[in-house]
Amino acid sequence: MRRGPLHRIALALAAAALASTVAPSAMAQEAGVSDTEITIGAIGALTGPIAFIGTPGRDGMTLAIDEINAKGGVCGRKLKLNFEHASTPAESLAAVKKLVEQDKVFALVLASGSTGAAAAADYVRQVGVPTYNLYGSTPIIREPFSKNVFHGAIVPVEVAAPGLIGLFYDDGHKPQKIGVLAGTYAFPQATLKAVEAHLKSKKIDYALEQFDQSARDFTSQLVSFGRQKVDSVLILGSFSEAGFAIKQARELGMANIRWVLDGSAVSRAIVPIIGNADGIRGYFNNPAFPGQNDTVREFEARLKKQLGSMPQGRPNNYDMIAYGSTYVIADAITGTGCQLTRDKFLASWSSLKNAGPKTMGGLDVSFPESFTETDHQGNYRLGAAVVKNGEWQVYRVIERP
Amino acid sequence: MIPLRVTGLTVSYGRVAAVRDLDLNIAAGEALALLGPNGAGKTSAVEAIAGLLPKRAGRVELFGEDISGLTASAIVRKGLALVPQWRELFPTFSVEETLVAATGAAQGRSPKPLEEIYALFPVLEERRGQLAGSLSGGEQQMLAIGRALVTNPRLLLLDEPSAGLAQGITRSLIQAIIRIRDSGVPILLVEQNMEIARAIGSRCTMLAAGSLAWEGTMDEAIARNEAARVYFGTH
Amino acid sequence: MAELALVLIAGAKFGAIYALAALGLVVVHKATKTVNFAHGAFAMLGAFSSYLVVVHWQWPYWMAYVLTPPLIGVVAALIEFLILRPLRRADMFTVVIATVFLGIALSEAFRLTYNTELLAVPGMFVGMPFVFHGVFMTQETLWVIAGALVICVACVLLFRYGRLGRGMRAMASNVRGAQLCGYSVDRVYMFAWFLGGAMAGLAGVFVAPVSGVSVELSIAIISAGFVAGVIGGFDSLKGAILGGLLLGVSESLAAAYVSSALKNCISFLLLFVVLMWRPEGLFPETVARRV
Repeated sequence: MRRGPLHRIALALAAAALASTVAPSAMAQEAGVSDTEITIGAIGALTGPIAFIGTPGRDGMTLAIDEINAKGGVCGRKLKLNFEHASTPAESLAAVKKLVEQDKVFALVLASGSTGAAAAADYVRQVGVPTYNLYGSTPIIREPFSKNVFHGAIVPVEVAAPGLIGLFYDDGHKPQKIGVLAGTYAFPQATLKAVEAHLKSKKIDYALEQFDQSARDFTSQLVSFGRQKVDSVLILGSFSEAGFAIKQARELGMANIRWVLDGSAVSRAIVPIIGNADGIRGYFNNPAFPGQNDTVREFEARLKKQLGSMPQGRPNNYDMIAYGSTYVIADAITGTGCQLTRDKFLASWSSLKNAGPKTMGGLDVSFPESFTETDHQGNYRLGAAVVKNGEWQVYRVIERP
Repeated sequence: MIPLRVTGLTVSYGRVAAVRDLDLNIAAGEALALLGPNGAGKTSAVEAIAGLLPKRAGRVELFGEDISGLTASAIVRKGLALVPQWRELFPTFSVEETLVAATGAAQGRSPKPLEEIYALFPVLEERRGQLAGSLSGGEQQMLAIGRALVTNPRLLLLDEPSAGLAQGITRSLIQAIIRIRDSGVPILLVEQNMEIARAIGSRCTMLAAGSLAWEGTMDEAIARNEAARVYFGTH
Repeated sequence: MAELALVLIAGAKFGAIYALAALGLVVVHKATKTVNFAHGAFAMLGAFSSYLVVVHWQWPYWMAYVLTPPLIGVVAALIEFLILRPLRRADMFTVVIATVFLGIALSEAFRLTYNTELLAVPGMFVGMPFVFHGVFMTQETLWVIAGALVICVACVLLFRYGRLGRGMRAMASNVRGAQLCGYSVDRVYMFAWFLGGAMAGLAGVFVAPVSGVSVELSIAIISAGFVAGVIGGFDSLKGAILGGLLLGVSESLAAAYVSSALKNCISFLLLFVVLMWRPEGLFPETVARRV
């Protein structure tokens, strides 16, 4: 048979077809992906007043990545973490731009709390980089919905608020009057708004007092609560503020108060401030508090091995969330069927069900996360925690209301 | 060993020399008057000797010991006390407290008892509880001298003690200074008034434009009208 | 009435600490004419030293009170020697900026080595509080108020009647005159910084159980101490003590009876009112000279 023009065309077409199937991996590879590595960028404060968020963020992610890589990585590639320090809004935006434009990361993790997340929000929506908001509760990163932005363990304040109020009624307690003691800065105010909305809708009587950031004297607020016969107090603030408020309340003779703390104050570090902290409640963002069971004890041991020594107040919920979330990213990468394009990755992430460390043999220290095309909030659950014998423990899971 | 030997003393403010290559000697029990017109460098010279001003060059020996490199406070403790021109008192200190404040400088020597100061200047005893800032000019000068005496000095530098004072007060001040001299403390007196200088000093050194212009006894200086020559360049 | 007493006691507790903080600041300023903006950082180091003694090494609590003041005093004197002595002939502004950044550097050094939000230190006394007609006063509160004020008074007496105190006052009044009385500038400055550092360290030990050890402590102490000092006239030790107490009590009263949100701004309000009414502070040290 003579090899005519038709044959040649067919051959060219076949070659072209062959080339087109090979080309994507060899030529037009996705940003942050090489044959051996997938680069994940992250920002968070490693020094400064919010370093207690960013540093565990880095450490938890590093621990998870080391474990994943020790088992061969994902899609035959090792995960690589580029963590940039950033504490102010300007630093956060600059760090995010650097990660996206210079480092060309495959996915971006905001391990920075609300400040950094808010600063980066517009930019990440605009460039479409797959973004994981670990700790930011601010609506600026959450609304409007964006197909490339996902939220992890930290639940929206509308979910946290009813959960917090519910803690007043646990174990048959019936609050006569609830006092709300809230910081005047951004984070507690966001929660306060949701708490007040919930209290009003449930027609619960409450008294409101506020304090400035890093306040150490709560006498006037507590005296006011005493005057109004408050028997249950919700504190929206940091563990140090909550700790000194409770310590002072005892000094003022306010006994038998049910204390409920916002998740930001649920920390081991509150116990030494107060001394006997038993009975204080609050929510925790993970299913078990450090030290509570074998899984979290093993996690603590691994983290300690990685860090050399354990800093005071660690591991905290940020360590655990960062660790769990890194596995969620790994699950989302695996879910692409190793077709490592941005679109496949976003699609895979949006269809994750019960993702977390367990699927890859990690430690389940965080709640499993599920996403849909229209809901990028991975977790809606909270752990109801109480101090018993000087240790926090999660005693029930607060489900989505 | 002579109480004070100054050789080649040079003091300058920036590039302007206030004192140039000055030599001075004070013998035991002697009062030397340092004379000269305004701006001749007399105050710069004594303040440099006392360590309040840095020396560009030169050597200062107190009873044979080189004190050129010492700070003002160390020099006082060595026994060289200065009563500065502007008195440099502490306005919020009482008279007594001012005197007590200086007792620490009599290291190694015992401080002069306050009674001796009060014996020399009875008015200070009357005003012992009064604040230094509220004293009259003459009383302030007495306090400044008293404060220097408390350190039990081996050599006393007086920078124009009579400046701005009324005649009556000046006369009693001169009497007091003579008593100090007669008690055996050598004195270097900076003065503009020849009469006062002669009442206290036996010898004098005249400065003009920072340099030594004439040396000799006070009597000789007055007899030859040296002052006029030095001050006005006439002769 | 019980409520007012509670508010006043709380105000006095913070006021006593402010007084101690202001006193150290004023001592350094009086003797050396330098406003030491690193004073708050010294207090923070004092509180940290208290944490090390009480929590980390588990030594007896009194050792925190005994060891911290000389330790922080030496740190302050060393800083004077190494950083401020070379700047002695520099203008005031340079020196003040140097102390500002020194404070920031010390705070950040602490933050880097102890990367934690807060170190908690227990109180010296944990016994039952005293109760009198519904007014509660813990042993710790009593200790802070009484202890800090006793130390303040002791410091005033030392400054008033001690030889070194006299040297510092003489130096403050007239540097040349003080030198002619045998006081060495170097030694007096160094001692003033030592004393100021020791007072800051003590303030830190007193405040550690009340506020915990954090970088914010350094700012809280310097701002309260500075305001209290200015209210008192900045060169008067008595003024610093009364200024501190006034500030603490005003903060507490304003928060209780006006608005809890007013607490932080009351210090500046107070400062403003005092400076408008008596620009020289409540206890000016300058005496009119008779000419």
